Amino acid sequence: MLGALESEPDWVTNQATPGKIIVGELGEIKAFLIVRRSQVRDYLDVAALSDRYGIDYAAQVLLRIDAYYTDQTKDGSPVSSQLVRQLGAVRPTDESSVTHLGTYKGLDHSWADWSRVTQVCGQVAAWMVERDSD
Amino acid sequence: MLRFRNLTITPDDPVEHWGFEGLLAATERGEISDWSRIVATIRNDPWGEVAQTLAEVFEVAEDVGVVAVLRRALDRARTEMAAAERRQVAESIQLLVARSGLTRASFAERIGTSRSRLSTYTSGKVTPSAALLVRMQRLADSSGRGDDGDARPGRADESSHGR
Repeated sequence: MLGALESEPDWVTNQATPGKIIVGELGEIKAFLIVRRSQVRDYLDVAALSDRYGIDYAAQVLLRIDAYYTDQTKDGSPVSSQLVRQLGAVRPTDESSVTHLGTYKGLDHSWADWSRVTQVCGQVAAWMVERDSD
Repeated sequence: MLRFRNLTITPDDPVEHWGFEGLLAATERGEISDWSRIVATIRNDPWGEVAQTLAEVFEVAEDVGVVAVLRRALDRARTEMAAAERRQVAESIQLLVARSGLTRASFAERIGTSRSRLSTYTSGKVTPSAALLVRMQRLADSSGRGDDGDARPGRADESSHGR
């Protein structure tokens, strides 16, 4: 199913054509993928979506992720917490992909700078915690 | 769910009681609700005891992701509090000018500065020194009473620029 979803043109790593899939849902799926498989493309999509639709909005959406997903690898602990840990310090399992961002199809060239991805991810994590404290 | 294995207190107690051990446990084994409570506490007092202890936790905690998030929150809390303090100083100066009954130009002259410089103080763009604030206070007190006061022009460059 994930493979089918990723073939959709709305994935930022493929082509950014928003509107076909509900943005919040898209973000949650990608965020869950960060927790499950933690690949460069997952962080890239969450960063690009968050940047496009607003860090604050992204944080609000991702704070609701526990209502839909459970982290099966962590004995049912909240996905949102694990997501904050991983967005706070981005360490993809396929770290070597970072040096090949320029080869991703349809990727806006501004996202070829990995530091921009980690910066946005860090901002989302910070907003999630700060939002929850309001 | 977070537990304090080596402490007599529990996470239900106020964050102010957690201490180094509790804050370290929350950072490494806690959840977003625990981190949010820490953030709320340091936002309330960004240079307080919890904030100081948290800085020590940053040095030893192994969860770099949560440390990065909390460090960012602490930096942000301090920046926002400093900005609020600068605004508070600016508002106080506005009140002093109003209380003096003087025009801005006169008030500026009587504290030994220019009207444009005074405007940077009242807008919060520049935060004057504590010594200059005392001079303003004295002028507002004396002018407000209708006497001449003892404020005299002097050096007015005792200030620090806000960010």
